[in-house]
Amino acid sequence: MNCRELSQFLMEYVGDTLERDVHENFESHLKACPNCHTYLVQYRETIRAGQLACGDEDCSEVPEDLVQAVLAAISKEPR
Amino acid sequence: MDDAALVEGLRAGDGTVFETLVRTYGGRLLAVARRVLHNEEDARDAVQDAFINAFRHRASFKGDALISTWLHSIVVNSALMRLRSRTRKAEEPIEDYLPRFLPDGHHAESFPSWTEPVDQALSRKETARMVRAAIEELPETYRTVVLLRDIEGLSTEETAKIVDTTPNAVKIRLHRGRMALRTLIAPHLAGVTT
Repeated sequence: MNCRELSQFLMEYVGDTLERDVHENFESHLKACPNCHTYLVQYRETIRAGQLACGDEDCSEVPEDLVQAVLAAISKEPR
Repeated sequence: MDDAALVEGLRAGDGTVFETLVRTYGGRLLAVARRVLHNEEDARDAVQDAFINAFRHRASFKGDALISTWLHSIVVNSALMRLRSRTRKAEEPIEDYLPRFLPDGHHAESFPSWTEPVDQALSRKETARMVRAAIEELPETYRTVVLLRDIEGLSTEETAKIVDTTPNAVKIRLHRGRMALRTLIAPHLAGVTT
């Protein structure tokens, strides 16, 4: 397995869905290639970075005018 | 008010309970809609549509899922419907953001290590803003899949259904989107230009 081939299996490796023989080839390339090892670490950290960056946003409060607009729309709905 | 009381009030069409739901979950749902739609007015409309749909279909809420999960799926659908209704732009290429290889299959570049763990880096608001801006920079097809799978936590199959494609296409877009996002954030986290 070379770097190009390894990059095609990153998602399955991270998701732990690689077939055993491919998994073994993947890991033996990783051991011999510090550049691919760094790339794998950063691929994982990128996923985490997105989750952390957006999780921070999720704590934002709902604007009062949006609350009132939703409640006004609901009040017109049949019960 | 706990979830059981909210469910009971929601099913009964209790306005006070519904207001509690809007105040409790509205901010989070608005953040989801903003990420998908990239436009404040559309995001607010998507959240309003989502709450109206939730109210109309409150009898269908079985109570076997969390209310937050149920509302989340409604707002994602509402935002994606709005996204689809927009005039489609020509698909932007993503190749410039993907790793390059030499003819022998080796990487054409070397990747400097990042200076600190992302959990530490992302505790700074400016780094979190930088990552969100990088997500926004992804071509729309890839951004939507990265958002739905990695940020909103939908499965490959759920994402495929919502964006009207195959699970395999979702996997390809997710992998390319993640690699492109890495390329965009790497210079900021390594402290050097890659």
